[in-house]
Amino acid sequence: MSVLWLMITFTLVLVTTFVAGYIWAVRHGQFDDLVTPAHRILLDDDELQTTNENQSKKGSHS
Amino acid sequence: MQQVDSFKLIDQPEFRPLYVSPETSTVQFSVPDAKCAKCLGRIEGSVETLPGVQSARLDLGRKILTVRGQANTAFAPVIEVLERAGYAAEPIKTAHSEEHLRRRLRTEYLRLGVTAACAGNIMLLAISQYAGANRTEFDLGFGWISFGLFLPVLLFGAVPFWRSLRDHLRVRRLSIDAPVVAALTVGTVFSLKNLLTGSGETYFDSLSALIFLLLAARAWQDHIQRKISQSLNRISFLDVFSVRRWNTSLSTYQVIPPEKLSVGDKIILSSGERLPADARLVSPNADLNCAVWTGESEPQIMVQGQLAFAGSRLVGGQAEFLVTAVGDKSRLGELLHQLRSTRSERGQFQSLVNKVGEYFAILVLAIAAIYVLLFAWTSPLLALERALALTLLACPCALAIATPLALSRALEAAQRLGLIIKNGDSLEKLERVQNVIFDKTGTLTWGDARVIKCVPEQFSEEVHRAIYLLEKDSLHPYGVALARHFAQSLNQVGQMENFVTKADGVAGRVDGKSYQITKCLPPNGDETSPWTWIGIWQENQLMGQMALTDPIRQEARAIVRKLQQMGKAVYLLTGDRKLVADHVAQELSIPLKNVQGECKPEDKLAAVKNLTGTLMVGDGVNDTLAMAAADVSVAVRGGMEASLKTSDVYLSQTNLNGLIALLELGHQTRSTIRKNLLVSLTYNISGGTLALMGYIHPLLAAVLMPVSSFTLVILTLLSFRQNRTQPPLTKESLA
Repeated sequence: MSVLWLMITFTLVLVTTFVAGYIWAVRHGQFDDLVTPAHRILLDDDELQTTNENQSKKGSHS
Repeated sequence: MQQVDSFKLIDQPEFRPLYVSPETSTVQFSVPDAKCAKCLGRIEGSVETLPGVQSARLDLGRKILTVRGQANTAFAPVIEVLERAGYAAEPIKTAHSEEHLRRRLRTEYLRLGVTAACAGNIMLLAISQYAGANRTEFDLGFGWISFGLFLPVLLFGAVPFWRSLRDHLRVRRLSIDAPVVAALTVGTVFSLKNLLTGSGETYFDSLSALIFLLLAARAWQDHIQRKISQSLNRISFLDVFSVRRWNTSLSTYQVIPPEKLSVGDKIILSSGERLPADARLVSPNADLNCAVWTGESEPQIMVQGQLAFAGSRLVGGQAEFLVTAVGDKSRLGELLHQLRSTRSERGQFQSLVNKVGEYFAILVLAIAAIYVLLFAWTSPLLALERALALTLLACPCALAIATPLALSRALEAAQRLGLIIKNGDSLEKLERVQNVIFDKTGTLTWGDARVIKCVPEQFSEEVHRAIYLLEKDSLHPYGVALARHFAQSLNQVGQMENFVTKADGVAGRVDGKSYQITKCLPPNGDETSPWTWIGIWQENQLMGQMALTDPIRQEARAIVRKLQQMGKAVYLLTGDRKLVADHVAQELSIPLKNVQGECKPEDKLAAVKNLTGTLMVGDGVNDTLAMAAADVSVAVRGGMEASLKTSDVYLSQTNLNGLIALLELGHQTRSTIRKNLLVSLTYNISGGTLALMGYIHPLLAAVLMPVSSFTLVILTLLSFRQNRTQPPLTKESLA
C-alpha cells in the first residue's frame, strides 16, 4: 500500500502547481474582465490583426 | 455639444494631471454606447492607430476604455476619433478608485480559488477516511495532510470573517459571522487536539467546505451588486469639466478645470453652463435655474451682486461671476459634509439575520457553558467535548449561505423590474416603512412646464406662428414649453425682426406686426390659480392667454392611492410655493396636513427626521439631505446626479410604478429570509440537543450539514422563481 504515499505526494505537487498557476493568472489580470474576451473572439480577421499587433507590442502588464 | 468639445482640453497642462496617470500614462474613458463585438473592434481598432497610443483595451462589461500611451501622447484625438465613429467618450477622473476596486476583486478571486482547491482536496482525503482508511496506518498521515491543506483556508480564505467579527466587536455588536467564527475556532482546536492524541474525529473537511460555500455565496452577491450599480459609481456629484476664468495678465478668459478655481476669480458662463462654485453676479442681470437647490423649475432673475450657489445653471445669454467660495466652503461642500454626518447618524443597520446571529451566538455559548458547569464534577472531559460539539453543530451556517443568495436573487428580480438597488440591506429595511415622503417637482410631476390650457381655445394662425417664432430659440422653460406646444401643425416660415428679451418675457416683430409675450394675470383675475399665465399681445392688444404648469405624472394618483391602501401615510415636501403644493396634493388626494411647501433642504431633513420608518422619493440636490436621513431613499430617473449618488434605490424607468414593485419585492425578500430562519433554527436546535445528549455521530453531522445548506439554497431559489413568470409590472404599464 506504500504506493499510496507516492500518489499522495504526487497529488500535493499537482495541487501546488495548479494553485500557483491560478495565483499567477489572477495577479496578471486574467480575471479582471470576464465579459470582453468572449466578444473579442468574434472580431473579424482584419480587426483582430490590429489588436494582436498591439498586444505583442505591449508585452506583459502588471 | 459643448461638453464633449471641452473634454478635448484633456491635453492642456491644467487638465492633464487630473486624468492621465503619471506612472503608466493611461487614461480611462467611459464609453456608455459600447455594446457588442462590432463596437469592440471599431473602438479598439480606431484608437490604436492613433500616434503615440500603445494599447486600447475596452471592457465591455463596465464600458470603460483604457488607453495606454507615452509621456507625451495626446489623448484629445481619442475623443475625436471615437466621436467620428459615433461613440461619446468621457475621460474618467476616478482612475484611483478603479485601481482600488480591481485589487479588491483580485484578492476576492484568490481567496475563493485557494479555498476551493484546499477544500476539494481535504474532502477527497476525508472520503477515504470515512470509507475505512481511518482504521489503517494512513489515518494519522491523512489527518496531518488535511491540516496542512486547512491552514491556507484558516489563515487566508477565512480572513473576511475574522475581520467582520473584529469590526462588529468594535461597535459592540455580533453578526451572523460570530457563530461561524466560533465554529471555526472551536472546530480547529478540537480537531487539532484529536489529531495530537491520535483519537477522535477531525472536522477540517466540513470547516473548509463551509468557508468555501460562504465565500462563494458572498462573492456571488457582490458580483450581482457590482453588475447592477457600476454605472452609477462613476457619477460625480457635480459634473463640471471646465470653466472659463479671467486671466488679468493675459487680459483674456482661460479654460481651466474647476478644481483650480479660487476665491476672487472672475468667471464667465454661457447659456446652459453650470456654476462650479458659489459666486456673485457681476453682470447686470441673469436668469439662473436654481432647481438643484429650490426644486422650482422656474428660473430666478438675478441682479448684480446677488449670490448664486454652485450647481445653478445659466438660462440664456452670458454672465460674469465673482467666485466667493469653492470646494468644502461652498454651499454644496457644506451640504456634502452635512450629508456625511446625517448618514453616520442613521447608524449601522443590523439585518434580521445578523440580529439572529448575535442572539444565537450568545445563547449557544451560554448553553455550552452551563452544560460544562453542570457536568464538570461527574465527567469533565466528556462534558467539554459535547459542549464543543454543540458549538460546532449549532452554527447556523446554512442561514449564512442562503441569505446572500436570497438577496442576490432579489436584486436580480429588481433589476428586471427597472429598479437598481445599491445595497441589499435596503430590501430588508423596506419592511419598516410606514411613511412615504414625496418631493414634488420632477418626482410627482414631470419637472418641466407644459401648456395645459389656452384662452381662447384656438389662436389665429398668425398668432400661433408668432408665438412659435419668438420662442423657438428660448432656453427659458416656459419658452421651451410654448415653442413645443405651438410647433405642431404649423407652416413655420415667417419673418422675425427686432427680437428682444425682457425681464418677464420676449417681444419682436413678426410679418410686420409687433408682438409681446409676457406673464399676465389669470383670465377673470382669479389670483388663487396655481398655474402660471402668459399672455400674447399683438400691437398692444391682448390676443390670448396660456396657462402653464408642471403637470402631474399620470400614474402618480394610482401610486398614491395604492400606497394609502397598503396602510402607508403619504407626505409631500416641496421647495415650490404653498399654493402649488396644495393644488398637487388635492389632485392626488394627499391630506393637506401632510403637505409642506417652500421647504429648504434643511426643512425637508427636519420633516423626515420627525417621522419613523420613512421612504423618501426625490430627485434633486434639495432632497439629498432628507434622502440620507430616511430609512430608504429612492431617486427618480431624470433627476440630478447627486440624488442618484446618495439614494439607496434608483428607478431606471421614467415612471413611479417601480415604487410599488419595490415594496412588494421587499416583502418577498423578508418573508424568504424568515422562512430560511425558521428551517435553519429548527435544524440547529434539534441537532444541538441531540449533540448534547451524545446521539449525533460525527459522520452523521458531516452529512447533515451540507444537506441543510442545500435545502435552504433550493428553498431560496424556489421562492424567487415565480418572479420570472410574472410579467414586469412597469413594462406592462409602459406599453
